[in-house]
Amino acid sequence: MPISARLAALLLGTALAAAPLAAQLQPEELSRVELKDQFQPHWVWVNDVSFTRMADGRAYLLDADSGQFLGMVSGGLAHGSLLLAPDGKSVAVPATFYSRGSRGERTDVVTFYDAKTLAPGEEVVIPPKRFQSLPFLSAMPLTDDGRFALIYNFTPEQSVTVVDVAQHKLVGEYPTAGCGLVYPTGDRSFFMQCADGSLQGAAIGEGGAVTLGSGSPKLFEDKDPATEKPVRVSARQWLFFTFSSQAVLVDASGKAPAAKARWSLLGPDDAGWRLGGLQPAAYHAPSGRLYVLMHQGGPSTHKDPGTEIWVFDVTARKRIARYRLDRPATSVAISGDPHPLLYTILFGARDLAILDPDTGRKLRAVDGLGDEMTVIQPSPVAQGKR
Amino acid sequence: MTRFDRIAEKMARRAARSMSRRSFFGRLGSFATVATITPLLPVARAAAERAPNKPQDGETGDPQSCDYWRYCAIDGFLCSCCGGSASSCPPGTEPSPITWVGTCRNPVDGRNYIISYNDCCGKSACGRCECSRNEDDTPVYQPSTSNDINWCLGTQSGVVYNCSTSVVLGAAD
Repeated sequence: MPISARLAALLLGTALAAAPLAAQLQPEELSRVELKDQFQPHWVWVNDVSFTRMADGRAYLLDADSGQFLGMVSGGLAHGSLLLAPDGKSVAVPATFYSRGSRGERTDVVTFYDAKTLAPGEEVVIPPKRFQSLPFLSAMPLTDDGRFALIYNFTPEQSVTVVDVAQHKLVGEYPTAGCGLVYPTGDRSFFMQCADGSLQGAAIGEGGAVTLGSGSPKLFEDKDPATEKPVRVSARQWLFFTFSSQAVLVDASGKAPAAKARWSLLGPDDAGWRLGGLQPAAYHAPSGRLYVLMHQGGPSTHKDPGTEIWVFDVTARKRIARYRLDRPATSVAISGDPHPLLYTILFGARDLAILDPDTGRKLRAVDGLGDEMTVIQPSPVAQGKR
Repeated sequence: MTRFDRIAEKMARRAARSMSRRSFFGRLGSFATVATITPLLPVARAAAERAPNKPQDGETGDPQSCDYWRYCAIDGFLCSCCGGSASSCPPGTEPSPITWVGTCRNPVDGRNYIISYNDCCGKSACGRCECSRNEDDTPVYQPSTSNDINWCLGTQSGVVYNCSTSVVLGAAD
């Protein structure tokens, strides 16, 4: 035996002699995790559109309190936003797949998952026309009661597919020429944004059929259009933002959508600042506070990341704080509970940052996620079993 | 089948008909003759490559750089970095027939040109030279001038996006 081998044997013997006597490890049984049966208030979904591998879109479910990665769903090609049931007990995922991965027959399908298992369950095949773009929360929302999914189609003919979520069946497809995206204003109504700067009202029958209603006059000028990224401030009101950072309160309680108020996010000393990003604003209903991603830049920078978050009191139309971000952000969202957490991501970075909404201070981050994260969807549940 | 395919097929059939096997072997004795004949054979024709379209004489800049003047409203992977060029799709991909347009200023002649940002489709994203510039980009409910939309939707091969081109359609002014 060479000297080195004898030395190793001697050291091993010493180590074994010094180690306490431990019970022998037992054979294990592989298990599978199940979650709580309801998304918790500080759980948050983050979309990864996988822009460089687009057939492999996904969404990650994270616990923002612990920073733990809880699970995920696979969403297929150009994965968009999730349809989170209002009770937080299930999620529907509209998705596009090709029979041979990147080619073959296209199938668009809505798949239903329960919160507890996150396993794919029943599904509804829908017309293969789902709007293909970077994810927008307004591309396929649920009605307020969660009964119907409203999926915007673009082929480039424009229409809306309605899926009955309760019965897991396709209701139909309804043309919406000239107008796109869907903004719910109750259990059975919504409006859309039209290319001419107007808004188109629509009603949903009890069976799910869509009837277009009255349209508004032109509300937005061509040179300063509204983004497709408003926040909802009440059941029938949405706050839109124009490219030049004007806030426009749209109210849908009348016959047709109407602009009720216009104000600027910019004060007299804020020239050169602009709202921007993929999901540039978040509204916290219990406090009435609005959080907006702002950066310094010119007219073509409406998708640039924010370097600061500006906090507004929406009722007073007044800025009450500004937070400098330690890394820029393209999306911002906030949990809906009375003790909220503020979330940001940057398209191209791999982490979700979790901030204190009262101070802007970073509490923690969840890293090692995808490279192309787009929209953040906080739990729909504001009061949960903690 | 496109008009160009039909023309190419007709030319190949005519070349095959005009030359019997016997006459082909009869000419083997002369290397020089074979060298002239070879390009007419269908097999040799298939071997001929088709290079990506080049930039025109009246422009400057690097088409593999996001700063290139034609890319003023682009959002995606540059086909110039993916086997194609600013006006050619990479091999095996399909050009989108419908698309969005932008208006960019050519720094050489100072004129504005309409640029068509056709997507190339049917293979997964190239992933190289990602470039996002948004001059005059509009929201997606104004689709013809919006760059957030996957324009592969009009192709036969489907909506799988590979890269983006920037084709000069003509002067804007």
